[in-house]
Amino acid sequence: MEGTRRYNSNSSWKSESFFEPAYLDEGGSEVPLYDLVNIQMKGYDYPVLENYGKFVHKCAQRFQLDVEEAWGTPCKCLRVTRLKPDSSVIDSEYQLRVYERNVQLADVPSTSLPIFVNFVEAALPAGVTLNVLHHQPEFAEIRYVPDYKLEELQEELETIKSSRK
Amino acid sequence: MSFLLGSFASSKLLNLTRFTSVASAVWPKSLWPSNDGVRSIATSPILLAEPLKKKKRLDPAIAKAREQRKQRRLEKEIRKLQKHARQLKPLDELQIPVQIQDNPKQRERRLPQLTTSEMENRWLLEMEMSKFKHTLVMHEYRAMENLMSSQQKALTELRNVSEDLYQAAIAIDETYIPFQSTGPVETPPFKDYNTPEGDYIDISRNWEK
Repeated sequence: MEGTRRYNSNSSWKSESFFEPAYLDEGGSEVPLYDLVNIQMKGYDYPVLENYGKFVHKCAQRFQLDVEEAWGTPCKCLRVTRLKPDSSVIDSEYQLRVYERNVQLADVPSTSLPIFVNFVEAALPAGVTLNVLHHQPEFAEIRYVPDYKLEELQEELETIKSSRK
Repeated sequence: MSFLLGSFASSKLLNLTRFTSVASAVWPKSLWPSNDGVRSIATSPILLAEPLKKKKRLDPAIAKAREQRKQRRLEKEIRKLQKHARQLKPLDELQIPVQIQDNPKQRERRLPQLTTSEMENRWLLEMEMSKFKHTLVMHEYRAMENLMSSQQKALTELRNVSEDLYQAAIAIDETYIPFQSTGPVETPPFKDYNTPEGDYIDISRNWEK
């Protein structure tokens, strides 16, 4: 019980539940910020990856970073064929799936990112790959089913607009 | 003479070759019926149509109005489609397979009734586990806080020493973004491992048309 009380008195322990008015951020940060940073994790073992994703999410909150979003990207199915030595006859075939989880951070201070990445990397489980990337629109786009009808209409509209010019 | 020629004309088409052989014997060459008469008859296809209509020149104002109407219609349709939330691709790992969905009874477990002492034992184990986990998490949190506070301390000290060095320390560092790291492996590599040949073929669902 004593231990719990000590941590409860720590200000950052409850920092996530605090309400912070928006005007506090108006002056801007003294330290330069990274705009949107994606922590991308890939692995073959789904439960391990999911748990690690959860860990990264919690750590980011604990490091007082803004977690913008956390999501899963559809997995990649791979058919792996093994050939017999010195021939093109298939010896055996396997199916592997590469799962992916993402945690997106916003406005990461340049001083916090290295220690956060080092901390998270130290806890990396076997078979998981960690990628720290600048956010690209493709990462969000790949999650959605493409809407061909909408694309077609937009293309038509574009042609009309361009022909008028 | 003329009646003879008339009879030629009627027989000419029927048996020209025989006639020429006779004529060459009787008349001089200048009186022979010429083939030009037949050749000069030319037929042309009958045009059962009236002359082509002149293309109507559309008033540019009307054309413009029509185009605008089309554009407005397209924009409206796009807005209508965009109103619906975009559909996310399903995550295979979170879907229950159809076979299991169809017969859930197959997976039903009949667990034996637990004795009171066993239940108590388990509860104590659970408590022990949660305490252990709690201390683990607390250690992690303490480590994080130590990291952050010592970094802050170091930065303030650095600023006292030199503003330039401080600015260099907080500058955007590109070594950590993009950054890649792979987790440890479960076994050390085999000695003298002969790598087999083979392929990785991507068979994930294709969402393109």
